[in-house]
Amino acid sequence: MIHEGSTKMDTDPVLDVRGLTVKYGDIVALRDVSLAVPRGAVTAIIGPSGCGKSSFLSVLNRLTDMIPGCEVTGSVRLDGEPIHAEAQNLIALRRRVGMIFQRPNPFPTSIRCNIDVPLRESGVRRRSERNDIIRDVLCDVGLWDEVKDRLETSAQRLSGGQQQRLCIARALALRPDVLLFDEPCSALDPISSGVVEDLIQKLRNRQTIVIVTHNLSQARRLADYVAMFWNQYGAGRLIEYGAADRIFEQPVNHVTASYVDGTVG
Amino acid sequence: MTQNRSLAGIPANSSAVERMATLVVWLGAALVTAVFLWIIGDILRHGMSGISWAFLSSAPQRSGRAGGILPVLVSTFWILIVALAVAVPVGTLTAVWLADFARRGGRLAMVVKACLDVLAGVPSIVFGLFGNAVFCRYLGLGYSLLAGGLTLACMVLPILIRALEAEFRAVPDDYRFAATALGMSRTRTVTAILLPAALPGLAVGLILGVGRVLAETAALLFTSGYVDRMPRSLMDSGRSLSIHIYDLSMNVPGGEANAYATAVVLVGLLTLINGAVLWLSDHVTRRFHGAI
Amino acid sequence: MCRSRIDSVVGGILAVVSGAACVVVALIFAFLIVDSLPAITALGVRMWTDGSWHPADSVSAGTFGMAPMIAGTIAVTLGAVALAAPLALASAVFCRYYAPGAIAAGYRRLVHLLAGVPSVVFGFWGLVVLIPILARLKPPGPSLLAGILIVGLMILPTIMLLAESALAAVPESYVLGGVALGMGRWAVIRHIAIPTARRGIVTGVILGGARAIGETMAVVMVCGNIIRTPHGLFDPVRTLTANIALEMGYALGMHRSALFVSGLVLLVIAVVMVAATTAISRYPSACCDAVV
Repeated sequence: MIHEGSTKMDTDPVLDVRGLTVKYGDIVALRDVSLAVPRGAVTAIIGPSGCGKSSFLSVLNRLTDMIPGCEVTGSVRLDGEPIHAEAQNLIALRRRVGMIFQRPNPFPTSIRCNIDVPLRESGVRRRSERNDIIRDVLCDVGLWDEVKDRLETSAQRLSGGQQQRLCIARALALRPDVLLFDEPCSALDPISSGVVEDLIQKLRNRQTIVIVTHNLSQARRLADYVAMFWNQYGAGRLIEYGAADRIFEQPVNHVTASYVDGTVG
Repeated sequence: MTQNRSLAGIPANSSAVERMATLVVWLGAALVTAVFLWIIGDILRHGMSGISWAFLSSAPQRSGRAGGILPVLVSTFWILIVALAVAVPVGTLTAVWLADFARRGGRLAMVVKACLDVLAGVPSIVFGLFGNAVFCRYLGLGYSLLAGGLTLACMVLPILIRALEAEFRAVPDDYRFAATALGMSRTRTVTAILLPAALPGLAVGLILGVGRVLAETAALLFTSGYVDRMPRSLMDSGRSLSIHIYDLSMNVPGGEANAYATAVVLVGLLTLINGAVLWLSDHVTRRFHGAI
Repeated sequence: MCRSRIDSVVGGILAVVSGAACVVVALIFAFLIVDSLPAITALGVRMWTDGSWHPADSVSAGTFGMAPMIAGTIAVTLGAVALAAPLALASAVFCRYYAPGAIAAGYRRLVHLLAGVPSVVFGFWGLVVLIPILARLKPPGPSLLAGILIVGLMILPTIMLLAESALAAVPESYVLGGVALGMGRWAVIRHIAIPTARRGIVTGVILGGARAIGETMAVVMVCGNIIRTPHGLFDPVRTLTANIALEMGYALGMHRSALFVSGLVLLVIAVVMVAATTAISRYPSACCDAVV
């Protein structure tokens, strides 16, 4: 059922997922998903609610470990290394695979601390070095000019869009190999949403990105590759995967075809 | 209930700080547990041997060094009855008013709530002074079970009201809307629906109040006094279990053995009460959360 | 909202009954102030500065300086809070972030039990178990240190339970956000959970401190009760509350009034602390933004 369309995704995947199944107790959220995330590209995960998109994303940085009763089987390799290995250092993994959540979740501390604390924890000891990184990433997300005079004020006073960009900045500060976005715009107003989307556009050439989105036109604008998830027999499945152009222009699966047409879902 | 979910799944990193923190946290918990077990174990070890039917059913002799605690139990019981007989009706009515009649955020309700907060924070020895001045002297009750019970009624009022009000508020508003839609008056809604629905909460509040009364000592020193004879009426002075422990350990050389035994009785009663509260709140009051 | 007539009548009656809490608060203040007035007018500022407390006997009129007792109360309270707050925070963190579910639940239950142990039982244990141990370290045994240890243990549950519910209220998204950034367990606790829960933790510490200030029986039983400003941890002390408990039984006239003054002081402190916790919960920004 899975149709692969490009050579790029076969040669050098950052993340290689094989036979992935995720269960919450008796509920199967995701069944037998195999998918290779190509390096340096934007891969969008689309599909209706309840088809396991977010579960898929949280497997990739093993945030599923935080959910009691969640059981993950199958293999996920990051640069060839299995992330579910006994010896896997979860902290190192999460620094390599950053994540942006649906709702902006800056810590209720100052703007600077939001970036500074994870950086310090990741081992950047020198304060001047951290300050440089803070400036760089805030520039990257276009926040620097807006906040440079109030780095010590509470991050919670920022607007929703600014908060989300701060969250992206603090993820970028750790120089991750992959950035996961879990519907990063869905909790934002249209204008902030546009700003965040522009930011993802800007990052696309230097960063591997996996983005879950409800918004098909956003997927169209952003994605190099698209994975279509669908709920079949009570479990989320990957029903089609390939280059974005092909998925949107000539989908092979009729469910995908109707979904991208907007007739189902 | 995600509230009680443990977040023990956060991975630890390998730094020295992390290891230190883990060590300190586990040691802290172990220390608290050890001290607690030490206290309870010590009381039980020395006190259990003194517990017998004779101990519970006879009067103290030689200032309590020998004999039992029957009059003390009876006095404790009467103080409890007086305190609850006053506090439960007043507390229930206040809770009903706060939950269902008072305008939320209205000035009067705010004043009442502030007063309850103050009452909950007043040290028990200050209640003792107050009880002594008002009930013993001003109202002329003298050192008596009645004065002690009334003093404790003032003390448990905020505890009762908080538990009850929380329970009334936990009754789903659907019930209220439904009753209003059926043309029932608010009063009728309260008596026919809310009070029965909140009954387990009443029980929890009541038991919490009982626990507070049993544990109290300082407020009784100068209100109910510490006569250890069998009380013949509410106007007699009488000592509670807690005062008995205090007097035996501080003022009666050689009273230690019976103080231990009395402590077992008191802690046993309080543990029963604690268990009852936990059981009630686990098994009975939870049903609303499933219903909505 | 339209109300039937019966509702207005019932609501009115309930409102009047609910006023009982306010009446009690008013009476407490009134009686404490009235009974304090003779001492306040006669002795004035000497009560606060004078170091000697000698109630009247057949020879002299008596002196009523509360300074040593105030020092005692402050020392016991600060010591108890300094001891209990870190342990309580460690306990709360233990329950939320370290202990596996079953252990956390068991530990929580244990702390609930600890909270229910009456102060007289803590005092008794301190008297018969702790003080002999301290006496072997450095005589005499009954001391400021004994008071700090016992009162610290008593206020630990208050602080821990409030801190834990504050930690439980930390939005999970913050914690997950930290985890997703590769922060270790201690970093998440130290930099995210505790700062977010700061208000609840501070409230717990204030309420614990209020309880320590008002604690009477345990302090009377373990502190030695000698009226002298303490100079070391092993010195015996007498607190304001202990002074009332020890002397109220036989105090008359000016002596009684002086004891009521100390009760009034305790009452005012209690009200201030309650007001502080209310202010913290009502005006979050006032204390939060400045610190971070």
